[in-house]
Amino acid sequence: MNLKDLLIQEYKTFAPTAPSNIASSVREESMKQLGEMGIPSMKMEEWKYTNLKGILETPFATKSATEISKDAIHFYNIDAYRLVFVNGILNTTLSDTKGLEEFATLSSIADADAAVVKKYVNTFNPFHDGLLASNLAFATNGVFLHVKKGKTVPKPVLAYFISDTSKGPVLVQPRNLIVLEQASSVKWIESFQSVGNDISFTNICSEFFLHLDSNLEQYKFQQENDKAYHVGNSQVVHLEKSNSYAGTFTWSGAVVRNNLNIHLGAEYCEAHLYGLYLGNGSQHIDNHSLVDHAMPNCYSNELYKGILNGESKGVFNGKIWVQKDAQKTNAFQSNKTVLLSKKATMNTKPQLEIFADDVKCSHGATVGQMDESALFFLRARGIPEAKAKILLMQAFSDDVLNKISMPELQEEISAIIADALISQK
Amino acid sequence: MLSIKNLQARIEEKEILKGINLEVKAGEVHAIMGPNGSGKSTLASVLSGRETYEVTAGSVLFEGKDLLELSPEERACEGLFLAFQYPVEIPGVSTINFLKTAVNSIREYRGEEAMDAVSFLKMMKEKVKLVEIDETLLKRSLNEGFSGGEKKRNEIFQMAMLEPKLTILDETDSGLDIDALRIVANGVNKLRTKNNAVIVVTHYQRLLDYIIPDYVHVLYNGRIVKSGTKDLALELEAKGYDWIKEENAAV
Repeated sequence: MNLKDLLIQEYKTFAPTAPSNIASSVREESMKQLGEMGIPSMKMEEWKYTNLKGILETPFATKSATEISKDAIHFYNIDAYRLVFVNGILNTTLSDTKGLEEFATLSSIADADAAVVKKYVNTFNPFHDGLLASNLAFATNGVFLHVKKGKTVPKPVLAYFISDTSKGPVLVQPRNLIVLEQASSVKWIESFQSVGNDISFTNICSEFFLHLDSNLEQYKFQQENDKAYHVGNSQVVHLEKSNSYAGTFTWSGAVVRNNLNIHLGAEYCEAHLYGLYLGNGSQHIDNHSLVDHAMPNCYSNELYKGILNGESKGVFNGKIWVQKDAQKTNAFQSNKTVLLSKKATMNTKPQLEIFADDVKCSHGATVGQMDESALFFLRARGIPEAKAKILLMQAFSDDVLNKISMPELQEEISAIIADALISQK
Repeated sequence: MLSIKNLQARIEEKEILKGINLEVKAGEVHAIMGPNGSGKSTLASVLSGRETYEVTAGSVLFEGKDLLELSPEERACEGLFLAFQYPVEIPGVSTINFLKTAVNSIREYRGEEAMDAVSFLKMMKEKVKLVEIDETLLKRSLNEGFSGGEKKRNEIFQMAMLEPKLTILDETDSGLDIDALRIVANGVNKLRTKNNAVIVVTHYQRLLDYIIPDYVHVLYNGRIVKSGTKDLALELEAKGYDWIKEENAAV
């Protein structure tokens, strides 16, 4: 059975038990859309370079055991409110969010108030497709985090999404909603990991809604196994004077597609988008982003860097829309990739559409090789070639890594990136 | 220490070095002068192991070892140091971090224990004084945004930290004002001992006012066509290179 039919059949058993905070008419409409649009394929312009063919016939289990040994998970070395999802289901023993209630309301998306869900869910969805439709239809598991007015959440909220494939292929469709009330602030981290060596498919959607003067930092750390497929959507809506940072770090997985869509829907907002992707073997990493400047006086800055080795493939598509009313927009974008092998490839496409006349926008994309003169310089100082290459690649990724605002996490991720570079062949 | 015999090298199809012979002993300073395009920098690059040049004939022994068989990093570990004509900028790598890696790579090669952070910083503080380099510069990305003089001083600082047996200064004077030139030269002089040697590659005589050479060689058209003492450098300064060219055209 192909993936689309599997989802449609699965929905029939799911529908009677579906949480009612999302109207059944919404869910059914979404399933209809999945039926019509199907699973994204390379025939679609937005999916031109990324192929999900590898999982179309996989016999995924959508419900499976959620017991897991604590040791199977890589917990980051940072003091955080912790949520652990195993195959889509919250594992309460491994989770710990004690004290968070003072700053924010936390629940499953299934338990969120229907009016709140109606107000915030699916408010910004510029590139609708069959997978997003499916995610909404099945929305049950995932986090609803509502940060209270004027509160700064003192520790990051770290959600681990673990795909345990030890009993066969696993498909999960988490849906997260994070709402920041006026003048609130939170750091939200998503970590994606695998247990076992079979195929997993994560079709995740996280929505962020930023009220006046609020501040969001969101991170994605992607370290799934080399058979894992991941399609992730982060939809960020800004109201006045709100700021966001998004950091997307990918160093494993088979096929990874990240969509990051940011709507600057009011004046004086700032959005910072950073990404680092490390490809090796036959990995495929695709980062699509959109910054939608809908209103005047907003600022966006985007920097994505990649290091591709082996036969890996990278894709970057960066859209910036500056709408007619968005005068005094400042929008910057840069994508830089280093190819370490002759067989690695990169497709990069900045895509700016500007309809206002008083704006400052720039973009740049480079795909190159390692700087030979820098490499020679380091070797001529006694540093062995392999070590010199790692030093240069660390330096190359530094201006993305150093934007991680938590020093202990910055150090840990930098070390993981260095290890990943060392183990590359 | 260094023995070059009939060294020939080319880049792609172009012959640049056409048979260089040179003997350098511990404690000596040799100057290699010559007009532009004579092969001075090629010689420096070939000795340091740059792969863009192909050695077609000849031999180079460094402390009895076949230098040409060694990788650039092995040459550095054996005690060879090239002060670059154009030091590269490496954003994201601080001078301190890079030098610590370099020092410990060399120590590892020699079978010595890695240097701990405290000893490294202590050594650094001593060497900083020698080359009058601003310590805050060393915490910044290597050479990024440095002035020409700062870059060259950083080269000498690296030389001080790595304590090479043989240093090649490749046009270290180019683009330096007189103050920077003096600081760089003083640094080199302070680092001289009877156990190490220096090859100064330069177009102009002025650096040799500060770093007094024992021998001066004139490189022209890929060969050393004249050797002498420091007086030869003065003669070149006074008369230019044309008479060398004419003499050799006549031969």
